[in-house]
Amino acid sequence: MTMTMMAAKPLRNIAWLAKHHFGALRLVSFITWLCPALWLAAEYFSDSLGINPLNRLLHFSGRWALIMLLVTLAVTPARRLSVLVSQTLHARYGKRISDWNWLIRLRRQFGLFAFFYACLHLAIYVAFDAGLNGATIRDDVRERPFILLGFAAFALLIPLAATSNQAAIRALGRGWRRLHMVSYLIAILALGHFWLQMKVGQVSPLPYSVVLVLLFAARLAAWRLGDRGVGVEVKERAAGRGV
Amino acid sequence: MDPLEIRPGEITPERVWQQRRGFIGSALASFAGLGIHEPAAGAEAERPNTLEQIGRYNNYYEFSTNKEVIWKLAEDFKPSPWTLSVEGEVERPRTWAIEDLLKRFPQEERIYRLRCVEGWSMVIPWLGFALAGLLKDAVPTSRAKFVEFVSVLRPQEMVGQRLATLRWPYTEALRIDEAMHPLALVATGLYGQPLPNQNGAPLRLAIPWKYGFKSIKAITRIRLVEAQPVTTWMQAAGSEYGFYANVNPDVPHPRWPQRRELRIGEIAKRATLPFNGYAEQVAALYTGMDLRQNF
Repeated sequence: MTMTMMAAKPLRNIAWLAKHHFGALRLVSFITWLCPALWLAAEYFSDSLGINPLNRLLHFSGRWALIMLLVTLAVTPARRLSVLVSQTLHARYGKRISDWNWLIRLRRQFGLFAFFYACLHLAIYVAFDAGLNGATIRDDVRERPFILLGFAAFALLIPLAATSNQAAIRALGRGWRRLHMVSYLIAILALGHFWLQMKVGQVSPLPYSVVLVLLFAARLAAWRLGDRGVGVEVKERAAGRGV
Repeated sequence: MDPLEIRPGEITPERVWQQRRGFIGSALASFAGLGIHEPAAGAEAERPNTLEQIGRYNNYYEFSTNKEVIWKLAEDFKPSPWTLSVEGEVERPRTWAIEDLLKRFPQEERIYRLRCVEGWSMVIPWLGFALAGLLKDAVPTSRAKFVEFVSVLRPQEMVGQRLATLRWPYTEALRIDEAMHPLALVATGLYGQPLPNQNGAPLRLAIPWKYGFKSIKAITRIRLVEAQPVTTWMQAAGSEYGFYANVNPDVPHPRWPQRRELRIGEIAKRATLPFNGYAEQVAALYTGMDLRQNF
């Protein structure tokens, strides 16, 4: 075996696993992204949410909604990057590395997790913070701009979650992609919601903002280079050929 | 012996303190022949927060803007030796050594609600003495209209002061009649113990009808002045933090709810009361003033 083959083998195996055991991969991914919610539930039921349990619940759920949104938005740039890397390195198994179609198949799950954590965040706010009081929520929206941004982001997530299925993709055709580009606007609103809550000297939303700017830059670069598709479709090659 | 040095045996454990209070409360109730407490304007009828809650959730920008790490960062702060000067428009300016101050003004327990501008609150059993006594001792002149308080400046011990988050040292101010109000307390301890560092050792204000940031910590200087001082928070964000900063559910804040609050230890919010529930005692200070304008 040559060195190239040795190096490429684990990647090839991942690609093979993803292709032939996609159901298992999706389950592993599901359990992984459910862990934060399980962790929070464990803290809740063991009474270990800290001195200000309400803030812990709100901040934790909100942060994971944002993380899942960014993970979802990272899928296409990640696929493009994998193609670029394999082409630059002229890796013998480059086409297998870049064949990350399984990643785009997982994207729906990531997006629905963003919606799930956003629902959790909103439910905690409505139930505990606003005490299920409509007038309180109305005052909050009127008096505190960050709450308005949060509601706007959530409202825009609803049609995306509702169209995250095969039937909707088929029915909407080209419109589906255009609709789902709203996810970038949602990420901007969510970050605005986060930044506006910061008191003097606090920069917790900064890392997330940097990630979003980088994702934007990647999309823009790809667009300038003429690649306006969802990613690069690489022709499947029979696994194991060339070994 | 240094009066600040308290032997471990002299400290009342929080649990014992709670039991004693319960005993006194029930004794008083049975004496009065009543099984129920009248809803008190003061916080005496409310359950105080635990020492852990009071000591692990602090706003003290001199150390950090993260409330849950202050107790740790403040461990090496040295509250002793300490002096407090009372100066400006007074006939008898004086620099007090803290030992003399504690001897001259006997401390009493005051259970106050504390409402932070960030929308959370606690009930704290302070130990302290009335600010009025200290000010009267200095004999304010007729030009003394405001009282300015200056906190300590020690970037060596207070890591947050190495950043220009706020203008250091932290300053606060009260109108003279507010400062003379019997509820205005110079706090020197809580739960019968000297103040923990993270709570503003060795002495701080406790002004229960105003947002917590008015209750300046680790005070070194009190200056009586004629013109209204510009406080640290007014200077940092005057549109959000006014001079008066009375707890007022009718004046909204862009980030935090002011109509309701989270009492630390609870999970659902409760309504915020005007003047933090002390309206009966202090509302007269502001007769004729538009408190939406003078927030």
